[in-house]
Amino acid sequence: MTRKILAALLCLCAALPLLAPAARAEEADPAWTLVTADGEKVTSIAVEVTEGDEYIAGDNALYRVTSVDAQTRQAVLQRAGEEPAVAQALFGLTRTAKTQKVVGLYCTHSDESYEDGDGASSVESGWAGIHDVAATLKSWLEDKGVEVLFDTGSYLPHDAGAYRRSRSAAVELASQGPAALFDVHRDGIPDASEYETEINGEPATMVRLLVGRSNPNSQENRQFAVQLKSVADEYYPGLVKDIFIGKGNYNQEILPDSVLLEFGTHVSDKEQVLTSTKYMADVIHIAVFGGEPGYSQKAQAEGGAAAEDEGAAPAPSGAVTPVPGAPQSASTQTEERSGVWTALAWIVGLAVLGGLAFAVVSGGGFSGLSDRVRRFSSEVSGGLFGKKPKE
Amino acid sequence: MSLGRILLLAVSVLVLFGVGQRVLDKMRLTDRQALFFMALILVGGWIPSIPLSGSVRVNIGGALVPLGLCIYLFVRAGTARERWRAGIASALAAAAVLGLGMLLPDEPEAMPFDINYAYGLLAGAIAYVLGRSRISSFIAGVMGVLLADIAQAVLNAVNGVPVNLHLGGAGALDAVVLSGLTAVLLSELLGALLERITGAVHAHAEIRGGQQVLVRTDRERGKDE
Repeated sequence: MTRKILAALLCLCAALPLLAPAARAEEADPAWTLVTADGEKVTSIAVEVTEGDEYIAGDNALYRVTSVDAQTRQAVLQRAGEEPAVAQALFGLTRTAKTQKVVGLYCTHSDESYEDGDGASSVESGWAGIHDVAATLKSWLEDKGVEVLFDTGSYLPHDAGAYRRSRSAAVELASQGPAALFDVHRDGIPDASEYETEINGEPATMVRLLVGRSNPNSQENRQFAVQLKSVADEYYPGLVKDIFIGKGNYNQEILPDSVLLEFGTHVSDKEQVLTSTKYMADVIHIAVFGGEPGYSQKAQAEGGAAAEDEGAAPAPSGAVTPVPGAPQSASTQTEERSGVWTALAWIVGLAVLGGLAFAVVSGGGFSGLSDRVRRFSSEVSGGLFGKKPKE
Repeated sequence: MSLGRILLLAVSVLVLFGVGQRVLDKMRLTDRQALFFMALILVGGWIPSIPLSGSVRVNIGGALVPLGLCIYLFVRAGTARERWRAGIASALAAAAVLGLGMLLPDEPEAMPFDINYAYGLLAGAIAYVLGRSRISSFIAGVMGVLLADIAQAVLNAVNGVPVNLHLGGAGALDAVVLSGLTAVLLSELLGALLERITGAVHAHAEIRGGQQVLVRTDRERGKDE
């Protein structure tokens, strides 16, 4: 009987790969609508929303998801205050030590594309639209003197294993010492207008920042995202749409300064998406490296050459120009980023609790627990600490 | 790097090292052998991966060391039956890893737990049902993810999707390592819990009157040894 059950299990598991979905369609995952308690729509988002998720709107209003209806895919938000912006003075202080300007880019969902520009929302046969976005972001960053480690690997299929496969890219990039790591995506909401914006008179798309709260670094990741948004709000208002803090880890535990960037949605105009990379590169340069707004190596070189020719001062304007009259009033925050201590407390706490629970269960109770802890210390340290087990 | 971040990194490595050492220690390895293998996994993970051909690469700490350990444990398994069980558990775990990828939601936020640990839990459960062996659990956890990655690369090649196979690419943090460790921990916990709940029946072999006999010792439910 047992053998028959095992055989049936084996056949079932072996047949699972045959059930693979043929192709990914955005309709398969309808977007969620986030509404206030009064039923007023706040935004749409193409990720799963669960109770306890947080949402920082464009105006820095902080909301918490209090209830979700999976049938209607509607989540109710409750106002939880205002997320204080990070003053530039703070990250200027924390970033000055970074002499090497390096960031990492990769695309976990290597098929994501734009219907208007790539012809389809998902391209599985090779270089997808999202790689164009990341490559353009890379070239703008390089124009600011930032070295970009760009992983162009494919992590297809776009399934539950995609983040497991792209984990190797995240770790490999992180091992080369970048100051920040960006996983470049696009959203899947059906309404392009929710992402449309205008920066410096140029039609562009907004960028949504996504942070996973199920990882020890989530507080650090969140603070990093807020830092990026604060810079964008100051120099390019309307560029960063909002920040969503949901379940999952998105491999963001690999590096504290990691964030997922959603450039537009699958129905956005790809040209507008590419335009937004120019401004996002400037935001990253300022937020991560304390760079000069609008700085461009190329423009400076050209300006310098022109100045030598004409004896005039070099033109400071780079490829982008910060919006004139943009608010410079980000509220100050004097304390150092505290997420790292939260992460530390979580890891130590979980390790101690897990270890004690395991010792109690496997040892058959609380009696002799201290002996087991001492024996454990001895075994993990090769006999250096604790009590050596009796032979 | 700030002091906090250095501490965070050090503590993370120490926790992984401690858990890994305890797990390996339970599989017919001495304390020092377990320490040695964990050190190999951690250090090997930071060494650049070995390119095999085209877009196929293999990481030393994330794939080669766990694979070598599996082979060592497989060869040293007590009986042919244990080896068979480990093999079947690995195949089942690989199919289950592939199946999980296809059947679970695409996005991490839609999953009830971190999928990197789900593979180990599944492999541990399969190995436990098959043979209640820690060695089978570890082999199933590691080989399940490795075989599933290879199978996915083959499926991609067949379907004309670009192949990018990086076995154990995340080193000590790769699902290969995490799955192996999680599988053993689950197996250990399941065993201990069931023993506590049901009141274990212990048995050991003894030679009595020139014959090998199995001596069974019933233990009182919930009572400490």
